[in-house]
Amino acid sequence: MENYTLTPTPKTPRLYFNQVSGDFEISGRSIPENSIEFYRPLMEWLDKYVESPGDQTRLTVNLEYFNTSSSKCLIEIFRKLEKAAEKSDIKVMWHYEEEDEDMMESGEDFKKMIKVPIELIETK
Amino acid sequence: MVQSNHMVSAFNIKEKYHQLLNTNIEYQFLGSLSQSKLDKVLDEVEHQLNIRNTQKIVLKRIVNILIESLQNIYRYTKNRDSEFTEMFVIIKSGNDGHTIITGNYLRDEDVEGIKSRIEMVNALGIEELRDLYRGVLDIGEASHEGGAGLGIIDMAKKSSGKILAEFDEVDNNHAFFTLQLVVNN
Repeated sequence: MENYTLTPTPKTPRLYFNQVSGDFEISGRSIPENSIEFYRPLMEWLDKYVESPGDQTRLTVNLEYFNTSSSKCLIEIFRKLEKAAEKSDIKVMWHYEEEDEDMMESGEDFKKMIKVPIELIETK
Repeated sequence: MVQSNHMVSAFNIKEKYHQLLNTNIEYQFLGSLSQSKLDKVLDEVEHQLNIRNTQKIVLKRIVNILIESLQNIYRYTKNRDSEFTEMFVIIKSGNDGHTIITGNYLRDEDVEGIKSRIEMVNALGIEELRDLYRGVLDIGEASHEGGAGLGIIDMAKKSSGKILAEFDEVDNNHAFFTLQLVVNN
């Protein structure tokens, strides 16, 4: 199984999913018109990853913007990680800019919805 | 204004647009949305608001609202007759904040659904909107291209006060939908 990486565009985030280290990252802007299509390959990759995950999985989410169709994909990603919780120590680090209370609230909302621990991290 | 050549009731998007364009315009666009136009509008709005030193959180809320509304309109109109794909976006500044106005054509059968969704979100307070957003996100499987009403809930969360919706009759099958939201400073 190879790592899954994608370089960012003005409308889609950087995706960095390292299956050896368990370091994952989604950062930038996630506002594609068709988010489901954009995230589909990652979903497939994650389905394989959660079958035999690393001891530790750390997902950094650091988004400036995301649209509502991306939020459906994010919850799906978190739910996939939940499935690996017995085999891997999983944590999501949800970053938000200092003044961006909406992004902070989104992190809180996801935190209420999923079992995987989410840590909210304020950035400058 | 010369109106004698027109039927008084005939809807005209340009007239509607110009009626709404009065003072303190920060951004305006009238045209059909393609994917590249949509990106350009978002870029230009961000740029305009940036050079006006708009507070970051306010700018992000406005851009977020536009992402949802323009992507909705784009998805809705992309396979339609070219006659009904024109739309507009206006952003005005006021004392307390910014007013965002979008206008686009709808088929008559879609009017009621939109009306009732807007009435629903208008009846809810901010905490209720957050609960509803989580609820819809929780049950909604990643089905059709996004939608599911999350967009309008998100727009309500990010705006202040009620969402105003107006529907003008266009012809036997179409209406024109004008949506107006305010983002406070």
